[in-house]
Amino acid sequence: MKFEEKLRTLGKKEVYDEYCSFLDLNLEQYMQIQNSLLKEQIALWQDTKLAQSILKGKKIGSFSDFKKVIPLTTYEDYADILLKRDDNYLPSPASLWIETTWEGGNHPVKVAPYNRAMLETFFTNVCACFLIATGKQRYDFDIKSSYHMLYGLAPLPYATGLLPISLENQIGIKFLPDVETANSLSFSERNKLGFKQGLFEGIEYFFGLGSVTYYISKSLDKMSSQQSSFNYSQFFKNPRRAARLLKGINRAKKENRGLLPKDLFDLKGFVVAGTDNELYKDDLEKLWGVRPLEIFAGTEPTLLGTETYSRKGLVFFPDSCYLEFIPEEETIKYKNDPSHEYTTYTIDEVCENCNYELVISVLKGGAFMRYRVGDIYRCVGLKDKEDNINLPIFKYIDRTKDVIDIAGFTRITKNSIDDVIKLSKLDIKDYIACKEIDNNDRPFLHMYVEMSDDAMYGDAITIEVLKDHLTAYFKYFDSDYADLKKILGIDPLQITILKRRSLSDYPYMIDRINPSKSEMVKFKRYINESAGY
Amino acid sequence: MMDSYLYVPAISVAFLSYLLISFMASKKNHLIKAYLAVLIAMIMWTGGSFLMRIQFYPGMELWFDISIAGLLGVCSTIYTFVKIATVKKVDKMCMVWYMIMIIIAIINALSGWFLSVPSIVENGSHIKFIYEVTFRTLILYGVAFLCFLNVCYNLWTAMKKNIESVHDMYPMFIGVILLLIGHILYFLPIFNGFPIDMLSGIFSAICLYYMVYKRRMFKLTLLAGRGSLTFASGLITFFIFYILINPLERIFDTAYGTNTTYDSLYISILFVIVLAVVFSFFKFFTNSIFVKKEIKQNEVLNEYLLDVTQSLDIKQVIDITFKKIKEVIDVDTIIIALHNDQKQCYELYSDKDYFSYPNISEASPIFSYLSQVNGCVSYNDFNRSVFARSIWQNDKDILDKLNISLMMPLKDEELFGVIMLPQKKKPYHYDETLFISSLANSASIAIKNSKLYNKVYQESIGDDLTNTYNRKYFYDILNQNFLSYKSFLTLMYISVDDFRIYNQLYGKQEGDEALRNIAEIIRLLVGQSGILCRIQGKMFALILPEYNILSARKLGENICKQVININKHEENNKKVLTVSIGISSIPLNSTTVKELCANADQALYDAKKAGKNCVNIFSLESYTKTDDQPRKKFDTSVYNEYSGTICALQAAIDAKDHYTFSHSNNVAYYATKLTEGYGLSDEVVEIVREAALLHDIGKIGVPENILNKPGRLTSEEYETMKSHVENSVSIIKHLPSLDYVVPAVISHHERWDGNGYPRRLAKEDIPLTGRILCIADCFDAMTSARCYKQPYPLEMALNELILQENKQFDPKLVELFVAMVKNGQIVLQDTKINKG
Repeated sequence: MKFEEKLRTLGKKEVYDEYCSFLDLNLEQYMQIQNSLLKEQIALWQDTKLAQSILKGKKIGSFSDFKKVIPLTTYEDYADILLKRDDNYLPSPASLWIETTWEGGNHPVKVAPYNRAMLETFFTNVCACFLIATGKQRYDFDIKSSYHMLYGLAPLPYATGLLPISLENQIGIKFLPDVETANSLSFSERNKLGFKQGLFEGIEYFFGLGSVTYYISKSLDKMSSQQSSFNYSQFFKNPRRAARLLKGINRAKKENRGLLPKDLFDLKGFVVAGTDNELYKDDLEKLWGVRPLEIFAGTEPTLLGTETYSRKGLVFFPDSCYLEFIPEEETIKYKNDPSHEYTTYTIDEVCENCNYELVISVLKGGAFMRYRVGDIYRCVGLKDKEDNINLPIFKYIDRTKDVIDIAGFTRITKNSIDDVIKLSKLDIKDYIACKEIDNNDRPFLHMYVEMSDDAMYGDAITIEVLKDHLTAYFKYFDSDYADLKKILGIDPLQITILKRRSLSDYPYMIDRINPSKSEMVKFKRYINESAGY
Repeated sequence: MMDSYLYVPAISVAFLSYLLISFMASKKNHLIKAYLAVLIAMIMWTGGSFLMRIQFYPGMELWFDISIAGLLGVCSTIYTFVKIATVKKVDKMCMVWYMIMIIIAIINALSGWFLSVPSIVENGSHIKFIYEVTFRTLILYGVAFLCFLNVCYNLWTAMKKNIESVHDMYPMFIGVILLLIGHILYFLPIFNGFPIDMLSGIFSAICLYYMVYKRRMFKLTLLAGRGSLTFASGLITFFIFYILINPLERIFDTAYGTNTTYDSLYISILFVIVLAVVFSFFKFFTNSIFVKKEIKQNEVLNEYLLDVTQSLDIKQVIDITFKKIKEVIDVDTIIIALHNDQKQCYELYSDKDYFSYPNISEASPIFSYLSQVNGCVSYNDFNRSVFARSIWQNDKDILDKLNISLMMPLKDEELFGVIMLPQKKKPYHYDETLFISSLANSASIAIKNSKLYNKVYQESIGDDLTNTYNRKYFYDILNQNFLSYKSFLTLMYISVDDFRIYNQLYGKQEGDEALRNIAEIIRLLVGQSGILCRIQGKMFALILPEYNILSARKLGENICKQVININKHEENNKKVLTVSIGISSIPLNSTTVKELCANADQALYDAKKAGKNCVNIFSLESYTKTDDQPRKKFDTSVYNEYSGTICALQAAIDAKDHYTFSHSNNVAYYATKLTEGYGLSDEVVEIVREAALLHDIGKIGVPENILNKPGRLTSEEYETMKSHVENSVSIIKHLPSLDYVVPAVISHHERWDGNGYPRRLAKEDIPLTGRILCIADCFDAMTSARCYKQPYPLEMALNELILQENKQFDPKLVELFVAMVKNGQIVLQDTKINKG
């Protein structure tokens, strides 16, 4: 029975129980599910050629051996085998290969196999996200197949492309534009067409990367503000929507502002994925009148978790990945002593208000075991009283320190910056690159560069020259970086030229990528002091 | 003003009373109780109205008040019913409405303030009631109307929220709306006093009944209960006579004149006859509609109970279960999952294809879920539970493939099985689920009994240690096979060689493990084509129906080969485990079972004699040549035979290290004395003596500088010294005739607490002979003079032995030894005296 049929024939409680009852679990029950599925995963995984390449002859004798025998892994451990896309190496045949760019990696792309069972779990959990997104409390949701969804997500083979497909398979919601047409259009064409259709048919759901939904919303906002170019006639074909529009105009007039999307559309559910969503959520809520529900998904970890009704943090699904957490202190220990072995903790061992790097083992025949996703989460509470959830609640903090992620589009590493500098032939002697947030709460990459002595005195070095050069090569290396400007209109690079020998004479250790805030304050103070301020 | 449509309230009362009586017999929960309250209120309302219309005793005032109270009661009881049906609990508003209605009813009964008793106007044969309608009457109806609106609002919200399935709510919604419409229509002039409100009450009650029925809270057959039928028959007969009483009187008057003396009697007899006929008709009618199926189900259940109690064969019980379910429920396939304790899984049995389904792990969450529920549950309910999240994909695929719809757990205290019924065209009826539940109760007992019987039976014929059959079963099954074999019946006796020594060398646990391994090897090699039994400690019998001698020989050789392979897996390959096999076969060399066994035994004996680790087929020639007396290993003459060898070995050690030579002799003296004192046989005494003489023979391989080192040994030197035990065994192993001393020699440095060497055996796992040697060895070491130490005084040595009780030495033996020394049975030996 499909989701749509269930919505039609079952009571709300039954639908909720089937999809969202994981919210009612206690930690013990949650761990039972995790452990049971991990046992299955070990049984499926350990005899594959993929496992042999990682275990190097070792055997997982018992469940308790899991952490001892399987090392923590990164994509490099899987690349040689997975990039062959050969089912013979996997625990179960892949129904779909999901792709993403591999910035700073040995290959241009990363691929991850999704088998039938994983896709089934993915579909179930997507439905759960939508049930939660359209409701205010348990058993409350508003999903109808006659509703329309505007979406701003990359199509397959990217993981985000799976979301509309799963919903389309499960329920006949109309996508604006339909998935097939959307795949043949450019991003901006798709948005325009979707919006145009939305004006005519209505928009009840909105789904996309946080940054993209914000961009689309702003476009809508602009279009509706320029009232001369805005075609209201579409609204008057439907009396209900006409009434809504009139009410909206009246409200906008009273509040002395232009029309906002919330004046035009009665949004039932708003879902955002990707990174940096926290920076956009408030604005999106102002624009649409509905606070977006954030979900957490990725190429390797599949659909990992969802925010709950209170939107205070996310709960991880118990059946998509087995979860381990590396406390932040462990990375410091490792930094001081590279021979240090990481200690990982399970979800029933996490502490409130601590930051953790996430380690996943994809369940139900997934390829990745004890895989370091590179994401940092903060446990904001061991339960959510408001939603009566007795599971740890997390917030996505950012990528791990060695990666700079801008708006969920691009992931910049030290390797990629070094390559860009090398290709640009700019005489940059040293640099610090970090992600910063501007006054409008938008993320950008800030590079503090120190030029070589020769370049300082011999070349025509200005911020503009450096920015132009570096931007050109960032775009050359990484198409996603180019999309930031093209799609979101974001110019993500800011340059600060440091005084001569600022970095080479700096007496303290400082990370070149994403140093901590305190490190940066100390560094800036040093620069100012040495400048005699 | 209203007309007296008397039949409407009469029919209403009759019908509602019928429903009430039927429901009284059902199992009551909150919803049923609320429904009963609705029925009672409706009966009060319509019944009061009816009795008022016929001006029944004591007068219409009372019946009017009851009717008004009933009408108000209908509102508040329906409110409660809807609350329970939608949100499953009673809220404060229920009580508020009850209180309001009660207060209004009391006020009206006492003062007629809202609506006073109507006055009667006779219009020909019709009676009309004239009500005095005032604004206060509007308050009464207004309150009732408000209550209904509240009910409608609650229903509407519940349906909008759709917490429960909206389909379940429709009948209730329609029922409430009908009641509301009925009351509104009643005030329309077009109905001219026709009690359409009461008519709508009947339909409303039917709608509510349907909702309760849909929720599987009510058994349809209760409508055809004896009480309901009697009530309905009585009521109908009453109405028949109520209509026919005047014509009947006329008929009697015409027939028998005006004499009415016997009229009452005739009419009474007629009443009884009609009542009987109506009752019979009703019974027949309801039986053929409602009860026929139930009667059949009961018959099937009775038959099932009878059949399963006559069988203790689990497969037969399962087959009967399948058959009886299919007689009642029209399904294609039935699956029964039964727990297998040994395999730790649930095995699936189907009525179509036994054993064609894979097993499901007992850890599967579906079983955890089923162990927590009672009665029939749907597979969809499981899928909607959190349990489904942890199901393994393989198990899920199996369950999905089975296309299960309904599951009925089989339990005693714990879940041990499940009856699984597939999807069918029509959904499962409530009666069908009840039938399955009843059948499952009997099935649980029957299957549990058969499982228990099976377990006890298996235990009675099985050998726990090796998971084979035992001696008793061997003879039974051999005789059965003898009666049924077609071409050949071959018997193989398999005996583990030198198993006693193996046990002494490596301990009983290792010995048991060896037997288990051998049994496993045989089982794997022979598969389903032979029956393996353990008929003595170290002896297996393998019955091979339809095996010819050559195949049996090949099998035997394979067994020998595989058993030797066990040794290769052992560390350092030191253990030696072999088997000897004797084969006999009917009709080639035997004719009876007795002869078959005797010949296999003889063949085995010959195999042992021929050097062990071989397969021997019985032949009549060899039998006639063999002497009857088996060899006695521990014959005194045998020791004399070996004494030369022992002397030669002792001479070798004397040449290398004279101390060791003297020490061995002393140890032999102390050990034999202790053995005798312990009351062991002469045979063991002799073994201990020889073992003592040879126990340090391995020191031949230890460098002299270590043997005679005056100071403390380094750890490396100590390791070399320790190796003398294994060296001794290696030397003795090359003398097969002396292998019986190996257990004692190898274990004379083991400690009682398990910290000794080389095998770190502890307590009784150390052979007794080894424990004796250990005491003798240490005592002599302490009381002897060495280049690095003076001899301990006797008292000190004995104290040291006592101190090491339970640590190094067997406490019983130490106690005995000390006592024997103290009472002079053991005399301290001079280290320089050669007792050889």
